[in-house]
Amino acid sequence: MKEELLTLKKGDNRSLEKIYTEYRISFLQFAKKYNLDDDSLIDVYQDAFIALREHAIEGKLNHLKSSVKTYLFSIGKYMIYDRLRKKNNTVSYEDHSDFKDMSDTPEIFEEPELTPEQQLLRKHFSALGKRCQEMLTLFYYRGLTIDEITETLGYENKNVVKSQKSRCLKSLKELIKTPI
Amino acid sequence: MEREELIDKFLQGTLAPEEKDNFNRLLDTDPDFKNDFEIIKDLNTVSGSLDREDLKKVMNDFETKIANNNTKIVSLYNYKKLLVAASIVLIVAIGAFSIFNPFVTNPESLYAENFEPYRNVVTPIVRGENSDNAEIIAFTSYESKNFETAASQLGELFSSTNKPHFLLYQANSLMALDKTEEAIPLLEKHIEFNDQLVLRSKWYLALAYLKKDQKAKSVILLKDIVKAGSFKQSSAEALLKKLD
Repeated sequence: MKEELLTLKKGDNRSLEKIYTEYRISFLQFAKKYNLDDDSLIDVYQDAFIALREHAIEGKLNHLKSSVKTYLFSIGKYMIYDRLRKKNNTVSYEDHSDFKDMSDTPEIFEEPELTPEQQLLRKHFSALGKRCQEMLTLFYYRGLTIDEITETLGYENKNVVKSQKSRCLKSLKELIKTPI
Repeated sequence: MEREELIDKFLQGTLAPEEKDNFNRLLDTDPDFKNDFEIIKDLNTVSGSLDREDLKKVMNDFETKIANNNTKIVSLYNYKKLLVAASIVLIVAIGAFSIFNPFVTNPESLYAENFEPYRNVVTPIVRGENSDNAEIIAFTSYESKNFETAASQLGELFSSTNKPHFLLYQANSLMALDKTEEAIPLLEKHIEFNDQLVLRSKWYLALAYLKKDQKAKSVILLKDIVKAGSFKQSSAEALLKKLD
């Protein structure tokens, strides 16, 4: 379980395969009773999985009392409820006995709307080399320390990482200065 | 202390009191510093949004892998069952394509961003199995992206069997060849059949209308898709937002 949380927080996206696959079938079985088609259920599962990882990165799972699986399922369940409600306006929270006890539901995650500045930055960021994108993502989004990045990306020592990170920021600033 | 480190520490909330003073002073007096700060503070949101987009793609790869393991054992002729399986493969197939690109708003680019030929989910081609079955031949062409050949083979199959799903794939072949005009009547016809793949056709027809700059028609279909609340719901929602 500790290792699972660590993978969610710091692991490469591809390294999530085991966790993704492990809970997928039981989620689909669990969710079957809600009368959504398989397309939607996989959609929900993926959205829930993204929320799970987001919460892990934000540190919301650090003191989790339940298992990661239970947490994931409760996000999923809430998302299903949300879909059912959108699809069919008559289902109200109270009417649905299954959704009654959802007071301790973890908040779900919604993709933030980027400001115009952020949209522009996103475009420039995507133009950076892969190595730089990875480095900056690990540091600024995943919240890895310089030491952790040194280890994860296999750099010689942390000074190399520090100067590499500065160089990446410099390239980004140059890209921003250059008109598109 | 380096300016970059100062900004990083501020974002992490780990500035010591005297560093804080230094930080505030620079922010007020040094435009370069302020500029750097403006960029760096948005990196969390921006790299996060790209990382989640990548995770979506990666999860779709996981799904493809799972689907490939599952379909190999299904009989080739049991296509009804496959249609059910199809829905599982589906999300994978097209993927939750990100249509997030702030710089693109004209319908044709939206089309280009969203169109990807629909994956063959009705007749899996199992390598090494020889067969002269016309359906397998047609889908082999389709999967190997010989869309020209696939379009005509699938067209013949539809004429001889009247099975509606051939229309969807024929239309997709034509769209891949940029023959949107020819694809549109096929998709419209497929929708009339109202079979299990009807939402797929609506999605592709919506894209085709976009390509032809028939925004109003496209919007009606996208709203249908959102209302159905399953296939491509979120993509359709996002697309509608863009078209608004």
